[in-house]
Amino acid sequence: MTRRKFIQKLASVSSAIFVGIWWLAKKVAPRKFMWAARLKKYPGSVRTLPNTYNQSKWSG
Amino acid sequence: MMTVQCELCPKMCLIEPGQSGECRVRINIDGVLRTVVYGYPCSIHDDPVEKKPLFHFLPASRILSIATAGCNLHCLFCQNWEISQANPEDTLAYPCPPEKLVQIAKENNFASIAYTYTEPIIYYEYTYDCSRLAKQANIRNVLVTAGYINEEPWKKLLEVVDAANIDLKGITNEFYQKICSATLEPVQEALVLAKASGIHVEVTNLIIPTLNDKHEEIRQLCRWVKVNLGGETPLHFSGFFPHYKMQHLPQTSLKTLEMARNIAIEEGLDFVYIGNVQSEQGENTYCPGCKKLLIERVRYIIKQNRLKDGCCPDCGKEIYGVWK
Repeated sequence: MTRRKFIQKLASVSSAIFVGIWWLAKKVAPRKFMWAARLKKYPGSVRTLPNTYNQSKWSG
Repeated sequence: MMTVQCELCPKMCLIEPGQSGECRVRINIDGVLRTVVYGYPCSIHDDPVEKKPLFHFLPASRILSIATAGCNLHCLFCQNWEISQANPEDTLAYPCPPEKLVQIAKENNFASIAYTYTEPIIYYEYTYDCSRLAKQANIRNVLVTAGYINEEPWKKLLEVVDAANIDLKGITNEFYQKICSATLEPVQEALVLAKASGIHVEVTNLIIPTLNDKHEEIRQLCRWVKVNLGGETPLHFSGFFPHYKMQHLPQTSLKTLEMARNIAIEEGLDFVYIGNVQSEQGENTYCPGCKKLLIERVRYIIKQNRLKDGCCPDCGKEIYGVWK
């Protein structure tokens, strides 16, 4: 193998390894979100809105 | 299946598929972060604005107050733990999309909407959308929050909010870590950003016997408020009642609250209030210029309001606040 061919082969192998590592890192890294998407259905029980509103017993 | 990271608050929760973040309401479903409480408040009430507490914001007005289940903090003393530390699936909720909430506020002549009781930051998207719509309808928006949020979402939210009462629960990182499962610095940053944004800011400190009631700590907290937020920022010292995981502690005495108020006044804060315990002077607003009584309050009721266009009628000093 000539020196030039060896360098070409080395470059292609290294770039393949680099792409592989990048792909794997992207796959493993968590997806980041600031905004959350809506969930259509509330997981708990739902009641109808009252007609009048009272002062809360909660703090704040 | 993919893990997601929620970048809303400094906890930066890494959430596995099917799991929720620490707040219980932001869930990873098939690699997408979803909010399960959007449009589903578990509490809707008609409160006086003084109950938030906001003493320098539209006095004697009524404020439509909502909350969803969940919180990103887990304060051992939480006064609203039945909803803040509850899972949404265990909570009864009302279907109330932002349009409906604003409609309720308009039809019932509420001056403003408060996102309160639990933590408005964890139902961020709902708070933001409601606030944006309310603002378009000339209804003000108020946050009652622990201020534990990252800078980017906080700045975005501040664009649509008019006022906030932000808790400064203590002045040591140790207190925040041990008692609230949080850290101090992000809260301080949120306070500074809120004040710098131009919204109306008031601060609340709940004084808990043996945990954050030392003279030196209170002095340090007051100094921090004065230096970083300004002496005009109203500071509320609130009395603690034994709750949740702090049932073994006594309630805060009026004497302790008055001691804290005196320290704050010594440190140069203009408006210092006492809450949750009836106090002769601690609920009133006095002019920082001539020291005359401006607003007399008993609990949440305004007995007299002498302000003239937001100024002292005796010496003409402008008083920090949103008065109309």
